[in-house]
Amino acid sequence: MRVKKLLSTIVACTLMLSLVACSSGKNENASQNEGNPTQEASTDNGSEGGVKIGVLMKTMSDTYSNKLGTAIQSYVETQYPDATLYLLDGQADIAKQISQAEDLIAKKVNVIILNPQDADGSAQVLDLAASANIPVVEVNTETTRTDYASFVGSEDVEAGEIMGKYVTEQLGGSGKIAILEGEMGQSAQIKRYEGLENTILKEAGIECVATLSASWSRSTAMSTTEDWLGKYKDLKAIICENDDMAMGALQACESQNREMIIIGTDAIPDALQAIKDGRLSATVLQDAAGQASTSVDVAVKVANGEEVDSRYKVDFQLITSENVDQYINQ
Amino acid sequence: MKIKKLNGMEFAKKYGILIVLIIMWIIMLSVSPTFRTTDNAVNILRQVSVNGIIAIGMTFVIMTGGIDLTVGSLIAVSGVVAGSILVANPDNVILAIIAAIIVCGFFGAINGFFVAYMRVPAFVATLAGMTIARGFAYVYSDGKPYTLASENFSLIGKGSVPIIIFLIIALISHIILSKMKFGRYIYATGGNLKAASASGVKVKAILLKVYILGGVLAGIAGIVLASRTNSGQPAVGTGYETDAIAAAVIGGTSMTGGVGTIGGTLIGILIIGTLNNGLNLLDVSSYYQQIIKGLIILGAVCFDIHSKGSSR
Amino acid sequence: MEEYRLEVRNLHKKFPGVYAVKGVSFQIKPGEVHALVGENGAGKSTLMKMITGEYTPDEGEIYHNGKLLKNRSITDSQKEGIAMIHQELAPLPEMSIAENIFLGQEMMSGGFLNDKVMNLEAEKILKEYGMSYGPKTKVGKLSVAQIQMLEIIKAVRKNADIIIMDEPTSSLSDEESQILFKIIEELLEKQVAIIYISHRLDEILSLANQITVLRDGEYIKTVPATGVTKDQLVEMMVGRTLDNIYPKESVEIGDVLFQIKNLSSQGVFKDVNFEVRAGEILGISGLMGAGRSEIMNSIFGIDKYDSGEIILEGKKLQIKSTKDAIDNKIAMVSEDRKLFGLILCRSIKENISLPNLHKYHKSLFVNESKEKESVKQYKESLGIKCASVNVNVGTLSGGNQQKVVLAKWLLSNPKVLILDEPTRGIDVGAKFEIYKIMVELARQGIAIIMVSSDLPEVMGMSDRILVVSSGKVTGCFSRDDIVSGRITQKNLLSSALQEV
Repeated sequence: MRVKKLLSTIVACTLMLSLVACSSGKNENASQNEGNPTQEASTDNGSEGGVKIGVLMKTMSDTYSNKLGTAIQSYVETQYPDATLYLLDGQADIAKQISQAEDLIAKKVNVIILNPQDADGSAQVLDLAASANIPVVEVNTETTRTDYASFVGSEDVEAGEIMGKYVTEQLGGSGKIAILEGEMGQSAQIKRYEGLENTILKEAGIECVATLSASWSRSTAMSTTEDWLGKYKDLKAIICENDDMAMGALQACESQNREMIIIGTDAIPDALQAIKDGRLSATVLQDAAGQASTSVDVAVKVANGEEVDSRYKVDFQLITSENVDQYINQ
Repeated sequence: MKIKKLNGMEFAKKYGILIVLIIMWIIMLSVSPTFRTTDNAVNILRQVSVNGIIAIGMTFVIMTGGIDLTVGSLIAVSGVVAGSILVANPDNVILAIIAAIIVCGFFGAINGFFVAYMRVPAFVATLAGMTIARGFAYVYSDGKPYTLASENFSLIGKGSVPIIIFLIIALISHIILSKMKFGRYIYATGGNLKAASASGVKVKAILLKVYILGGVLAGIAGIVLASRTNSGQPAVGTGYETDAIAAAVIGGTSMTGGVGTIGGTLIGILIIGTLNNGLNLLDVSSYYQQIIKGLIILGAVCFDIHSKGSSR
Repeated sequence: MEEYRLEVRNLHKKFPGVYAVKGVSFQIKPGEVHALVGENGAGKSTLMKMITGEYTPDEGEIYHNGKLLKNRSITDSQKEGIAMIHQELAPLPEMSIAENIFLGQEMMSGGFLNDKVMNLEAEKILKEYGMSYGPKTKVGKLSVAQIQMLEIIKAVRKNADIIIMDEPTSSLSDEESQILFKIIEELLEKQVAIIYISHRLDEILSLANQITVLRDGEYIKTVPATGVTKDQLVEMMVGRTLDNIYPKESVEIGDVLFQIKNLSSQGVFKDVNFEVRAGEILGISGLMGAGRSEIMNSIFGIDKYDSGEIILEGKKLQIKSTKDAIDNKIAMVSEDRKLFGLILCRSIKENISLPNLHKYHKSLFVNESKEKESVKQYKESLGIKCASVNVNVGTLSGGNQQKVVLAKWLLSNPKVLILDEPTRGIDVGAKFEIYKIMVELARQGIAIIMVSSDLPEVMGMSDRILVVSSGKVTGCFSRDDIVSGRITQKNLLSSALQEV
C-alpha cells in the first residue's frame, strides 16, 4: 500500500515536472515574443517590420504544407527580421485550427495568414478575426467565403488542367485512365478535379475507368492502385491530385512491373527525384516559395494599412524529366 | 452427454463469422472477375498485413479487458525512428528495425505501467499515450517525412514478405495463447482479474507484458508500412486503431476480456480487407464505401452474436 | 380455474444435449407460498425462466389468473404482474433509493422529474417496510438484504401478484431473514402468490403451503408442507436416502502442521492465534463481518497483515501475495467463488489447471494431454457433472462450480486447505459430496480450516471449533464438547456475540 502511494506520488511529480519543464520552455519563447513587440511599438508606425504575424497552417506534415510553412518562416526571418511570427500547426484538424485562431487573436496579432483546413469550416476563422478587427490573408487554399483581405494562391483548377493536358498528350488522345482524389470536400480536391473535368475528362477517346479518394495518403493510394491494377489490365495512366499519392501509385505499379503514366502535383522532393530517375512521369509545381513570399508581403502591407489586391495568383508549372534539374535543388 | 451431429444451426453457432467471410467471398467471386485472380488474393493479404499485425496486438490487449489506442501513433513513431536511421545510413537496416521496435515497446511499457500499476483505465491511459506518441513522432521528425532509399529495407514490404511476416506473427501468437502459460494467464487475467490473482497469477506483470507486446507489434507493423511506402511519415497511421479494434471484435474477442482467438481476429481482418478491396473493385464511390463498411461490420457482428445466442 | 394465480401444465424445455424440464405441472392459489426444491441442475431456474417469459416452453401451457400466456417477453410478464427477485441482484449503485423505486415509472411535473414528491413517497414506503434509510441514500450503500427488500418493494409497486424469489435468504443474516419473512406474510395478506426457491429446507417447511420437488428436470411430486419431514424432502430431491447429513469420520490426527501467532491487522483483527494439525478439520464460526474471512484472506496473501507469524511445519513463512501462499502449499476456496474463485468465461480445464500450470510445463509449452488427464481425473473423483472439461465454468450449477474450485486447489497438493463458506448456495446432494471430499482430504493428512456461518455444518464437520467475534478469537471447543452435547448451537452463538 505504502509502496503504491509512494510510486504514484513519484509518477505524479514526474508528470508535473515535465509539465513545468515544457511550459518553462514555452515561457522563454513567449517572453522573447512579447519582448519584441514592446520594443517595436515605437517603430511600429513607420517601419515595415515590427508586425505580429499569425500563421495558421493546415498541417505541417504533408510534404507541401511543410514546404510552405518552412518557406514562410524563412522568408519572414530574412526579409522582416523585426517581425514576430507565430506559426501554428493545425494537424489536419479543423477544430484545432479554430481554437488556434482564438489563441492568435488573444495574442493580438496584427494580421493572420490562413492556410485553411477546410473550405467551409475554416471560414469561421474569418468571423473570429473580423470581430477582433484582425485582417486575414488566405494562402494556398481558399475558403468558400471571400470576405478576407486578400487571397494568395495558385488556382488549383489550373493544376488540374495542366495534369489533364499533359496526360492527354502523352496518351495521344486515347486510352484508359484512373484518378486518385484527395480528401473529399477539400478545395484542392474539388478544384483540381474541376481542372481535369475541363480537359482530359472531355476527351472522347479517353475513358476514365475509376475515380476514388485516397485521402492524400501514400499508403491508401498504394492499396487502391493495387486493386485497380488487378482489375484494369489496360490501364494507361493514373492522375493523382497530389504527389504523395502519386508516389504510392508508383510504388504499386513498380512492384507489379506495370508501365504507367503517373502524374501528381506539389513537386515534393521524392517526386522530383523519381522524375529525374525516369520513374515518375511528371508533377505540377505549386510554387511554395512564391506563395510564401507573396503572402507574407501582402500580410505585412495589410497590417500596415496599405491597399492590396483581393487576389494574387502564383502560377503552376509542369515539371518533367526535361526541366526537373532546375527545380531539384531549389 | 452424447456427441451431437453438427447440424446447420450448430455450425452457424460455432463458425458464424467465418460464414460471413465466406459469403462475402462467394458474392465477390461471382460479381468480380478480378477477384478471382491469385494476384488479387495476394493483394488483399498484403494490404491487411499491416492492420493485421496491429489487430493481433489489439486482440491480446482487449482480451485482458483493456484497449490500446496508441497503436496508430506508434506506426508513425516506428516509421520515423527507422526512417531517421536509414536516412543517415541506408545499410543500417537491422539497427533501424530494432530501434523502432524498442521505442514502440517502450511506449507500450508506459501504457502497461499506468494501466497495471497506477490503475488508470486503459482507455484513458492509452488515449494519453496516443497523443504523446503522435507528438513524439512530430517532434522527432520535425514534422517532415523521411524519404527512404534503402534497397534492403524496401524488401520488407515487397511481394509476399509482409504476408509472411504477418502469418508468422499470427502463428506465434496463436501458439502463445493456446499452448503457453503466458496465454493462459492472459485469458485468466482478462476473465477475472481477482480470481486470477487469487490463483497466484502475477496479473500486473501480465498486463505490463501484454501492453509491451501491443507496442512491439505496432512497431513491426510500422516498419512494414514504412517499407511498403518507402517513407517514414509522422502523420501516418491515424485511425488505424479503429480497424484493429473492429477486426478483433468482429473476430469474437470480448470487450470485457477473457474471450478471443487469433483465428477469429484473422477472419476479422480478412473481412475488413475483403471489404476495402471489394468495394474498390466494384467502383463504389468513396462516400458510399464508408457507409457500406460500417453497415457490413455491424451486420457481421449481429449475425455472429445471434447465431451464437439462439440456443440460450 | 380462476381460483389459481398461476397454473402450469405439462411444461417441457429441451436444450441441445440436455432435457432441462420434463412435464412439470403445478398450481398456486392467491395468498400462497409455493416452494420449489431440487438439487442444482434439477430444472428450477429453467422453469422460472419459462414463467417469466425469458424462455419459451417447447410444450405445455402457463395460465395466469386463468388466462393463457403466450409469446411474451420479460417486460410483458412484468406488466402482467409476474416479478422475479433474482439470486444475484443487479442494482444501480449510484442511484438513490427513491430513484430506484420509481425507475421506469417516474413521477413527473410538466416534463420534469418531480423529485420532491418521489422522495416523500419513497420515505413513506421505506417506513412501511421498516427500513431505516432515507430515500436519498445511494443503493450502493445498502446491504444485500436491503437491496432485496428494495427489489420486493419495486415488484409490489408494479402491482405484481406473483413474486418469484430465488434463494432470497442465501446471503441474509438471521435477523434479516426474519424481516423478509414478515414481509412475505404481509404480501400474502394482499393475496400475492409467491414462488419460493431455496435450499434451506427448514425455512421452506415453515414458510410454504405447497412444495414441488424436481429432480433432473423431472417433476417428482407436489406435497403440502404440513405432514412432510425434512428427511422425506431430501429423499425426494436426491432420489435416495442420506443416512447422515454430515458424513464425519474420525481420522488419525497428526502433528501440528500450521500455526498462526499473534496475527494482527489494524482495525480488522487482532492477536489471532490458532493451530491446525494434519488431518484435522478446524471449524471457524462467528457472525458475518466478524473478521473470519479477513483473517483467511491475510493468511492466503489476498490482503496484507501488519504483524504476527504464519508458521508451516515449524518454518516461518513470508506471505506477501497469493503466489507466496500457493508456493508454500496453502490453498483457499474463497467465500465468493464468482469473484475470487473462478474465471466464468473460461473452461473447466483452464480453471482447474490455472494455479498448477507449472506442473505441465515441458520446455515452453503446456503439455495439454497431461493436463487434460489430471483434470479429468479430478472431474471423475469429485463427480463434476459436465458435458466435457472444455465447457465454460459459467454454465455449471453452483455445486459443480464449487467442485471445480476444489479441484483446482486439490490439484496443487496443498498441505493446508482453507475453505471459506464451502457450501453456500449449494444443494443438499452437492453439500454431502463436498463433506465427503473434506473427510477424504483429512484422511490424506491435509490440515483443513473451514469457515462457515452454518452452525449445524460447523458442528457436524469440525474436529475443533474456533469462534471469532469482532476480529478476535472468543471461544474454542473440542469435538468431545460437541459430541457429548456439552456445547450446543446456543453456546456457539453466545461466544460469537461476545463483545471484547
